[in-house]
Amino acid sequence: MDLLKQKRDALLIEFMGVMDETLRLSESLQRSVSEAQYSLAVAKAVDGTVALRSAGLATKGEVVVDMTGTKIMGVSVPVVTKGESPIRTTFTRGYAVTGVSSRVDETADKHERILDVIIEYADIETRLKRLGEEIQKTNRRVNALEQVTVPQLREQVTYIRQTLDERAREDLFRLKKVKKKIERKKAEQQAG
Amino acid sequence: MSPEAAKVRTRPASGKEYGYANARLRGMRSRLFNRAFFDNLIAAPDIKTLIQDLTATEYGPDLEDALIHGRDAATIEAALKNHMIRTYQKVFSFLNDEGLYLVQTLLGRWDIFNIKTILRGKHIDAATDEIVEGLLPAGQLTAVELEALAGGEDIKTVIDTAVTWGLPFAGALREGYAEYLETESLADLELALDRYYSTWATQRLKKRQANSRLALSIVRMQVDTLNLLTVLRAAKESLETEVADRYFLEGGRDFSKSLYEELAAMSDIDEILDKLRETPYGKILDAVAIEYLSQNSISVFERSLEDYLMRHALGLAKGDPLGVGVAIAYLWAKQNEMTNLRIIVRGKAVGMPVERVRGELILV
Repeated sequence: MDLLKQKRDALLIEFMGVMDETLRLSESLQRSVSEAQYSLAVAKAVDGTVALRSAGLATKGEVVVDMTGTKIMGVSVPVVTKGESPIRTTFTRGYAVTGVSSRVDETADKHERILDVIIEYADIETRLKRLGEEIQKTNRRVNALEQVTVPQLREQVTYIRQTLDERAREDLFRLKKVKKKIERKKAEQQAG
Repeated sequence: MSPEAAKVRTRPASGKEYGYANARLRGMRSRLFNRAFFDNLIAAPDIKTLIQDLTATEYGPDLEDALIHGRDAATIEAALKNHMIRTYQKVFSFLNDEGLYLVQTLLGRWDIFNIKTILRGKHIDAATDEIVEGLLPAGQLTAVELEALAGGEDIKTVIDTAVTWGLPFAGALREGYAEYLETESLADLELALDRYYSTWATQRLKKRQANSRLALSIVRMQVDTLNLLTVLRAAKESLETEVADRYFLEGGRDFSKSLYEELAAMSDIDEILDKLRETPYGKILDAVAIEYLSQNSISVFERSLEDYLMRHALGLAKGDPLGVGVAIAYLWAKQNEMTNLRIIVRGKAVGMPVERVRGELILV
């Protein structure tokens, strides 16, 4: 049980560290989304949806994500890493810079940055979730040991002890009876 | 040009007479929205009220058609797009031969934009409907012609159709396609089209007549603006000089190739701004340099240059009352009005603060 408690405490320390990182990334994601939304609204307003749709066709791409795994205190957690950064430059986004306004370009850039943070967030959030699950599991085990298994075992120990004591008393009583019988027989022989 | 586009127009004016067309344009110009009307729209509590206010204006018929699909920002934008096409067609219908030639040369950039959209769609195998949504037939190519091009199987089919129709930029497309096949980079194909347009438009307008010179001044300033923005974007992204040099467009007014290369070799935006002080653009960019530093966004410079170009285009109306300047100024003013309407509508849709919407409006 002490081992389990030690494991739970170690997991909690790890969990708090991951939690801080998750909060930091969550705030960063919220900020990025809000900035991107504002840029998108301005680009839609000034350049029009038509220009955005057109540029969108040129910038279509794929996000490559590597999935591996690692162990924290014996807990398997997936590791999500960017295969290739989704952030491209104005000159590598797919369209010719001479035909797309910097508003549309900056909107694309901000949305690519969201993707970048989302990948990091996916990694840290999964880690947090797994650690949380493991802490709950370990906690349940510790509680079950403390509340159910250990008291049950204690009861069993008491029962066994009582049974053994009873047996010892019976043995003693039996021995006393045998002794009395033997003594009675001896007395009869001497008298006879 | 496709057989359909080559059809003869019917219009009352011909030759070089601008009297009739300019009288109508002045009438149309008087119906453009003023600041008070924009303030009224900004103050509207919601989009429905804004639609009501707009329905009572020239935009009414286009709004009524579009409102069948809903009463949101996207619907209004669709109505604005239709209104823009309808207005341009109306102006084309009464302009004389010379005016039409000059104006359509300037609006040729819309044909380039539409062709690029089609190529982008084909590049990623997008559905024809998806491509058509990104088109704006405000140039010489009609919606039907653009849809026919968008329906092509792949980039090669689109280029072959352009060649068959004898479209002016077909040659540039064919040359760019060879490079595209090697690099698979759409940007090369797009750059070929942009290069073509600046050279094509400059050549078409290189005549001694005053009207041609007015139209040419617009193209040259547009080219300067594009070159300037490319240099600024390249500096912000620390792009290698050789790569930046590829994006130079010929035909500018104050921006020679040597100046472009000199600026492209600079690594710092401050340095570029210092050098640009020798050009008419120096003052304009200097005025927003601090705003750039606080926002770290090239769009600050772009907005400033767009305002400068818009002011120049609107100023053309003050020149010869019987020249093409009146038509150019009207088309630019109309486009500006629609952009401002879009800003108000989008601002309202996303709950942008009133002061911020007012700040985004262009030359009201």
